[in-house]
Amino acid sequence: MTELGDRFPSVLEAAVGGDQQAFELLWRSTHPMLVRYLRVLYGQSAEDIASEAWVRAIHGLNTFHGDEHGFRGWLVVIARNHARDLGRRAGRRPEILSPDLTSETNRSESDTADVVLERLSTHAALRLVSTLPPSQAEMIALRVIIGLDVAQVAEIVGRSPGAVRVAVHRGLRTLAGQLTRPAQSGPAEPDVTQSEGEALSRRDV
Amino acid sequence: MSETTPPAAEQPIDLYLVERLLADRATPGDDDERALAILFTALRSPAVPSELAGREDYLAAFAAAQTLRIAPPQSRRKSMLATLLATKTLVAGCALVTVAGTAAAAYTGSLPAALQDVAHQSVGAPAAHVSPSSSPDSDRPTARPTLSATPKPTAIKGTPGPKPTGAAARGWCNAFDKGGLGPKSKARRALSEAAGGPSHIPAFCALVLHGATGRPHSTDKPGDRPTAKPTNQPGKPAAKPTGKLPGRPTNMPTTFPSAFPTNQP
Repeated sequence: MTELGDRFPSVLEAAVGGDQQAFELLWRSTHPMLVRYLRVLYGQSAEDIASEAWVRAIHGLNTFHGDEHGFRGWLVVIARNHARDLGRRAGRRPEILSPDLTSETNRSESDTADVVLERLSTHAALRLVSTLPPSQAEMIALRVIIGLDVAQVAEIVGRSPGAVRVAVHRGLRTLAGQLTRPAQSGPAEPDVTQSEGEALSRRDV
Repeated sequence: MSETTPPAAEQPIDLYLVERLLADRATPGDDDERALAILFTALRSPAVPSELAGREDYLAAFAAAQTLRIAPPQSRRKSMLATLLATKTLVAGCALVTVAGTAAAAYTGSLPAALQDVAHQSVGAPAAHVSPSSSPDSDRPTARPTLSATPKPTAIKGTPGPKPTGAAARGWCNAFDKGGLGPKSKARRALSEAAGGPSHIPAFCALVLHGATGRPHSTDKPGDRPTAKPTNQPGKPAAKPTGKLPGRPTNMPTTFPSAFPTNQP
């Protein structure tokens, strides 16, 4: 997670003023996590949704006021609305990650073992989260990937903060169960479980 | 003992589990937390290069939008017809007369429609896959308070003469393609220079527009005029200075502009 932190207000201001470098900073610090979040919910459509969200965000940039997390939330809402417009339901995301995963890892030019491993494990992690019920998956993604706090997540998903806490907690417990006891708990990816790298690198990298 | 071995989802809610994990402070010896910490690390790992692919397209979209911002907001409320008429008149005028020093202004002021296209053309790359049937207007920002406070062409600060490279070139070429560049405009001259002579402009533009990212142009036009009033609905966003997000996401399309006042008071 790369956050702009203290620099955010000035970077935002510059971007609103038309400074391309500032916009790039904004984009770099936000885009990857936005796509990961979208990937959990919409699989391969993630990039498309993200790009449309950015187009809209760019056009409305001068109307945004808030801090860095507010900005991320704002972008998420735009992306979410667009996804909704497309009629893509979070429930319809079965084949999402897997095909993408292999093709991307194979294609990657900077094919150092580390990069592949990193990539794969991030993908595997996203895939694992995406096996949760959609609402749980989304809340966890917003909380963990985007880094929003409970109140922000609650606003975005239209639930109470308490409900968000419970859902996130349940989801995480489920994930923990799949990670530590893969044999008993069904379809999850055992890959991520064995912990860190070794198991991963030996299997189907 | 019973606290340390979690029967999965039945565990009492641990209010600080996420916070602990985000802060990289998993409870030592707790396998579940350790596993989740690994998961968190993977989910939050720094971006790899492939995740930053498409950077140019996004920057181009941004650059194009800067040009677009010049369009006076008042015109947004006018009917399409009025806008079109104005465009034609101005384009014609631009072709005949070039007021010294205001070539760029004429160009920019005269081409709202073309510029709208420009934005999308540049954006075309990333947005081209998006289903053309989508209805983009619903979420489009309708309020542009900053702009509406600014009277007409004075808004041209900032982009008097972009260099004809990258996104700017695409913008100029787009305008050129649509016959919108006055023969004596700055943009035309810049384009001509970049192309190596006036006669080379078409070829140059073909390359710029279709060479690098010759992806199909989606019909999903971001430039479509918002039909709603460009008012900023002062009541709504201001109503929540509490560091919270605004209403439900479903409300967002019209309210999102000033939506996230997450600065804690």
